[in-house]
Amino acid sequence: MKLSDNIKNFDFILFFTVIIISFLGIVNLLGSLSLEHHELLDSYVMRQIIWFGISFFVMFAIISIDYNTLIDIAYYIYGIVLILIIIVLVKGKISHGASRWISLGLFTIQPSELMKIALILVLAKYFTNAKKKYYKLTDLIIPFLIIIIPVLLIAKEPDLGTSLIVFFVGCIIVYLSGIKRVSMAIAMFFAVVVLPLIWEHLKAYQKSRILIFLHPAKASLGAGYNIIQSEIAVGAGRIFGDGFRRGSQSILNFLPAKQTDFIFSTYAQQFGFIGSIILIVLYFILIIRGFQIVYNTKRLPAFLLGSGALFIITLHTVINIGMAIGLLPVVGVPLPFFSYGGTSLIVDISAVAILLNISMRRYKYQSG
Amino acid sequence: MSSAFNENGIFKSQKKRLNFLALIFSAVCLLIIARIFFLQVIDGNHYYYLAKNNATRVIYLPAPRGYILSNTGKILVDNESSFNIAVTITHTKSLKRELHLVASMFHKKYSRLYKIVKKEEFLPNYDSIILIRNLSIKNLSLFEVNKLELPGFFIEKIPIRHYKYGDMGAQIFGYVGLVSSKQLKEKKYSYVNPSDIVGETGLEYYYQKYLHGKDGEKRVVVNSFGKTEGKVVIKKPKMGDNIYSTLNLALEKLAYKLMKKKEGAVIAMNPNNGKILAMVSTPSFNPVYFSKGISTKEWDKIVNNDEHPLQNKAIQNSLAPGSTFKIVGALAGLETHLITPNKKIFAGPTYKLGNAVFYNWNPDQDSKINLYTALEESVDTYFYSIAVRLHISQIAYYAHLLGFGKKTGIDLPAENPGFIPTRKLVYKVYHRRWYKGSTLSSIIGQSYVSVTPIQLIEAYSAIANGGYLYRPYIVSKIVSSSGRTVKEIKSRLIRRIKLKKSYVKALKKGLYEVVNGKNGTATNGRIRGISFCGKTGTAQIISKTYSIYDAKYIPRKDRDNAWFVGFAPMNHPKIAVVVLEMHAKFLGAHAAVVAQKIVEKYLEQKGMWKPSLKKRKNNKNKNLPSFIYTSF
Repeated sequence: MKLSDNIKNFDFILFFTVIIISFLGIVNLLGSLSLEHHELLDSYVMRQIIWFGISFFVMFAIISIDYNTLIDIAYYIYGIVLILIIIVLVKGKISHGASRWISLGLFTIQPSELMKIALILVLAKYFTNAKKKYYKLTDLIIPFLIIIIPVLLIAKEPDLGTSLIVFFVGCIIVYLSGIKRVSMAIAMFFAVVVLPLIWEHLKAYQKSRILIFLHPAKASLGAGYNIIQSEIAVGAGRIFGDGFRRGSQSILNFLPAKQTDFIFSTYAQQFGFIGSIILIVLYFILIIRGFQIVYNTKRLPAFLLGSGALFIITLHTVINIGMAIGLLPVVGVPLPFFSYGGTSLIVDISAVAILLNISMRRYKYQSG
Repeated sequence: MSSAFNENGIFKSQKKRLNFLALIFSAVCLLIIARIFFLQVIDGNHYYYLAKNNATRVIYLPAPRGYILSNTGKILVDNESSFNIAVTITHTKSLKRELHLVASMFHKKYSRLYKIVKKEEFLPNYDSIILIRNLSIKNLSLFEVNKLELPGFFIEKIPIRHYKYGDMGAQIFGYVGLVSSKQLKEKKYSYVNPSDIVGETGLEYYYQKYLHGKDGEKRVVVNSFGKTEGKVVIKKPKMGDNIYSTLNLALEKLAYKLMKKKEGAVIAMNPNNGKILAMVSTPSFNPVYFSKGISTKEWDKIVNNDEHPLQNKAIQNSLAPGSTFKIVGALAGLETHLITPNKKIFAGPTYKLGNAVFYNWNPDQDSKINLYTALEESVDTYFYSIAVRLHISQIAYYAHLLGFGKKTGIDLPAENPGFIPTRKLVYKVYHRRWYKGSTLSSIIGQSYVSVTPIQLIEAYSAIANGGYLYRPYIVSKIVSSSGRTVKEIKSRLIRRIKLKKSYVKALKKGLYEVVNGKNGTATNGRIRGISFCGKTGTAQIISKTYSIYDAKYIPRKDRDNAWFVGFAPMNHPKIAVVVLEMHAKFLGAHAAVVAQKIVEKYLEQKGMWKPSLKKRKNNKNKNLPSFIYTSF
């Protein structure tokens, strides 16, 4: 396989969609800066631009390595990330607070985010080795453990959003790997029984967030404040938007987590319905393109790994937007290439890189 | 490829599942678009409004309240500036240090000032917090000297109500207070802002809508921490309308002076149109306490006073009218042809009804008398013999005709309608049967009969002017701060009572004899050269009768209520006066003296009377005996 073939098979549509969304993301972050932030160089926008630089470097690194190699070392990656998560947890125990980050000098990283990538690699490897058409429930004990251990550890941090994404992505891979319908039904039954138990173990604020999602108007200054301010921001954009840097909800800080969880609301107030539709169409192109890539692969590891990568992006997008417009409860999930945050950007870019990687090498294993 | 299994191959079922997920994703996308369409396009304007309101804070600038003026435009109630020291926390350098400085400067405790600041913690930081109220001029200059040391602290000048004559007329003007959250919810206070003061009682309450004015506002763009971000837009407040009352300042002052130490009420009214010339209710209070912020101690003192200083006794206190009510009995007797003015009827010291004995106040009474004498000497037994032949509903009919038993409709809040008994009403209200004896008591203004001073003066005015029942009123004109007349209030005739001229003449003559006759009960109220007519009344508080009424031996609360109501001159009346002295030391005769002085003053103003050089009236007052026989 020559480099020129790789370039020929490179999915430029996917790549440039990501570039456009990233560009809009930077513009949007600039537009969210409060009036107090006069020092642009000092702001989070600058840091995010640096993160983009780092993540595109990571992207090309991933593309240049054959995805099969990545799957081969999956267990090591999974193990390292799991250890990092445990370190974070232990550190949090010592410092008595929520701790999700490990400091790397200038930057901090969030191991729980990295678990998303590690998990899809491990599951792809496990199911490729197992090679069955349909899995019984008993066959799924190991994948279950692979999924549930990080999910519980991350939930303990506490980081409900990431923990849910890891769980859902894991479940989707299990589903696509060919679990029997009967097994699926039994698993669902257990979920219904186990769910109340999990509910019991949620932190008070996590419970209240879910409850408030069900009745937002009841607590406009409590936790429901977030949802209401977000809906106001989105709605206030009307058709054409208030304009760049004129989103009062974010400029004046009425919108909480305006550059992370509620970045979509920041965007929607500035650019209105038209802007929102353009952004959603861009994400739609990105994701449908991803579906095509996964659908067209002919090898199981590529299929499973690609699905995992695809659903990381899909779930991030759908949950983040859904939560900003009041369709889903507030859980901390980033909007790919939009939300401020280094690790989540690297994770989303890595997912894209995996899709590009698979797409680029789709002919490589055809003959084999 | 199909379903054939090869190494690392994919089954068709797996791709089907992927398609299924793609379908769900597409459906979710449509749902998201629909929701965004709803938020931004359909409900966009609503959210746009919410967002703009989020970002702008409105600071209300209270409008100065309109003035309350006398009939000639003299100021009775206006505004003065109160200087407060306030602080805006965001502008301070070191709050603690500066608070310490302020505390030592004005001899306040630091902990108290700190508590005030802490209490207002929930306020947005740009809001000012009042630390010290009502600064004296000396302290004002002290602050100005040290101003540079105190960034964030400033003098806040706010208009507060100023009652020029203090306690005088307090219940009529009423007081103001910070609007309550309950009031804010009411529709009639829709123009009021949460930091506003509103009238709570009296004219302040009744004409609140006019007095209030239009608040100005300062719009500031702030962020969610309350820090000011943008420009300030100011809309200036517009002062409230001024209210011209009908009160005659000189008369009001005199009435208050005469009543100051007593418990009771005085009303002076123009009987030809219902204009209130003076109205006082005592004991009084200074309404300024309420605008400066009343202390709990002062509040308790006012509220727990059993003489009820807050109550406007002139319109809110309904009492037995005693003999002043005989005018109703006389009218009923004449109209039903039971008596004629001149026909003499025997009136003894007692009147027997079955086994019950009804006494005349004067046990020496034992002769045939006509109506004039009956009124002049207030002979109870004369009226019993009328009452015994009347049904209570007939007495009630004539009472209602004269305006009793119903609110007069004066432009003051919380008027008491009084009570005129009928069989049905007594059964409904008191669950008691009616006895004939009660009819006898009713005709001399006892038993269930209860009237307010304003009703009494309204009724006597109607007699004085020949049958025109006017609604009493106290505000004649409302003028905006720019001088435009907003509203003019004219006198309102409630009804024309059809009275035979001869009856009116007879009643007036009887009332004339009360003051001017040889044996009249109010002869000490005589005015030289003026035909002053009136009627005394004594209402017993307890049924015990004292053979000699001497205040020294009766506890205050058990003392009788003394009434006098009258008008002058007889033929073309200019003024009507009612005086109520509750738990009086002296009885109706003394109340007549109060009325006399007011009438004299008014007629002197009108150029109809001059005080004599000998100051006869002063001597008379001093010579008044400390005891007088009970019940006139």
